[in-house]
Amino acid sequence: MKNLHVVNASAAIALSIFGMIATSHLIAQTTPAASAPACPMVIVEGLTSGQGVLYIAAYSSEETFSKKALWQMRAKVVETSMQFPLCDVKTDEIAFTSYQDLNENGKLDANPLGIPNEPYGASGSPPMFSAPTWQTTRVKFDATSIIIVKM
Amino acid sequence: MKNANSRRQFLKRSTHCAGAVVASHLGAMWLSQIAHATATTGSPTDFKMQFARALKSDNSLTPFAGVSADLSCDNLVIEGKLPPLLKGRFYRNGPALFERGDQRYQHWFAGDGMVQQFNFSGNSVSHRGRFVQTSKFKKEEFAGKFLLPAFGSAIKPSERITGPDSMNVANTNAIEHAGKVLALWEGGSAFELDRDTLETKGPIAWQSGWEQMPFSAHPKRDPQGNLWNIGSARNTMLTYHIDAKGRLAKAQTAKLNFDPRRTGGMIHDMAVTERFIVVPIPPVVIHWDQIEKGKTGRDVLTTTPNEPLRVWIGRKDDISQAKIFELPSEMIFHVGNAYERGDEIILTYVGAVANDFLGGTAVEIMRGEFSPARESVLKVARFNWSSNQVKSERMSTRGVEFPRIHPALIGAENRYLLTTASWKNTSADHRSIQFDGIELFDTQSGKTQRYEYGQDFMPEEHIFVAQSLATPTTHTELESWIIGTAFDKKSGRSCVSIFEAGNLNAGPVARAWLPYGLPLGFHGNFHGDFNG
Repeated sequence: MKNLHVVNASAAIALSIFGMIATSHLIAQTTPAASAPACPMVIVEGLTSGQGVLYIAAYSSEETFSKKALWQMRAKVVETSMQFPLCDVKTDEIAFTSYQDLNENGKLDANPLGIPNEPYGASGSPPMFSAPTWQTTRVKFDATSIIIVKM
Repeated sequence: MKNANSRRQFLKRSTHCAGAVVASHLGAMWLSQIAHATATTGSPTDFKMQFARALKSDNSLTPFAGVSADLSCDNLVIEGKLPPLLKGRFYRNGPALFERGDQRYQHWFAGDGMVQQFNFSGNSVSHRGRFVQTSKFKKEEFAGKFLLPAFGSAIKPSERITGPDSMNVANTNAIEHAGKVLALWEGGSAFELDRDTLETKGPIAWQSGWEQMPFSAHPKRDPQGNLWNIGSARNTMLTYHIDAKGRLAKAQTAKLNFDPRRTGGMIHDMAVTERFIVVPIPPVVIHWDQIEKGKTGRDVLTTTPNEPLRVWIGRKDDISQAKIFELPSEMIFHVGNAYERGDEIILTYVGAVANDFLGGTAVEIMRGEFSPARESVLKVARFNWSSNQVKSERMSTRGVEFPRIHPALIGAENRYLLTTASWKNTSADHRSIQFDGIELFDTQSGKTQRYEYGQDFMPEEHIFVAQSLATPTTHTELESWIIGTAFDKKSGRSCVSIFEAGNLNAGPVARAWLPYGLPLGFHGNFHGDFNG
């Protein structure tokens, strides 16, 4: 697998699109992987290459959605598409939210109406006119899953 | 009006004009598709089929067929004599592209905006029409198909919607301010266009972090050259004060004390007075949840007749000092003007009690059907800031729209209101959108001057054009011109007519003819050379 970036993230990310607060205090180190593990995968597409940092988080229930991440990471954006293995993630359903922090200020910037000014994405079928929810974002998850998040 | 040139001559003289004539016929390939189509009723594909069928037998539909490319003509054919002092740029904006591939928008307001610029030099007129290069337009132009939904149009999204500008078609109004041409929509950013080329420069964020903030389509420029505008989203009201140099002087936000999603709150137009911003909030509900489900028309745009017409009035300098007045339920698209007289704030507007335009007429025209015209009249409302009393009354006859006043009297007391109007045929089967002509209503005497265009023409919004920078009085208000566009069904061409406001009944003193037809548009403004 090319251009793989594995991130050891240690803090939470909360993301709620359209009227949202996005906070993150991630302290992450990116480490290129030598080879591809046989793991489920999340692929983030539509990134603006060479700009800022990608934040991505996964949730496993409606109760924890946008509050407590099951898995999260931060990575310098170096490609238009970036993929991450989810080797240690165990859940039947999963929901991803992500944003590209173009100006690297550690948050998803939004206008006063809460509409993001930076690229964001979610798994599943994001709603047209409102923030993603657990219901719109969740997808089935198992050891063979390859989940796409479009920015 | 004397014809300086016969209409035939234009064909010979218009050699420097380029652009697709309004599409009046669809190709044979498309006709074969019709025969095999199995579109569901009401789908974008179904709309395209129905419109194509209707267009064959009704040339009134031609200006709703749309255009597919930019237009230009460097020397329009002139009938009559242009006023030598009429120099400047007349802008109009409107939905101009309705179809891609086998799909057609399901609402007139969805069409991608094209800004028209008529350049008046004193003895000639040139024209340029360019599509606003919104992100939606560019992506779909490249793809050759619709990728995103639009107002009242259930196009299944195949691109991400990341905010209102994803669907911004910049199609409602155009104004030149401080050297910039603004193409305006309602729900998102204004787009800046180059004044000389109409090339799109991009969406405007009036201050850092205000990307995609709604900047409505009816800003008002006061006599001092300040541009005032509003924006709205759910229960948030935004106001903008752009100074005469085009810089944001102040932006404010305030919360409304009701939920427009429940009571209705499609805010379209606004007025200013010396101290206040006046915003009618008609009880129209946009059902976003139904739009997500692919619904259109009356399923997504409804009026709530048990809800009042609310009018929000806020102080320009501090909109936290605001009041909401309530009037009987009524639809307002457009205001005429507002001004203060003592404690009273006086607002003139076009009101419609039983308005079915948004969910009905504007949908049906995209299928090639004209709905019956509904009653819409000139009204005046008086709001007392001290006593909180309000009353409204009717001023004129039925069938008016697009109210405009002398531009130098915005926010000050004006006497005359100009409208596009229907007065000849008052029967229930009279077609909406097809006006008889223009009316000039004298609010002092109650009298009306009219010019009837004739049955071949489809006149659009007309506007006052000042003859100088001087602020007119009630006695000199008509020392101005009136100009406006119309589509000639017979020839399939559009024209700009120029009238002397004080002698409207006499008809146009000049008419500038394009060699092609334009889609019917919405709103526009004139920027005189003396305005800088």
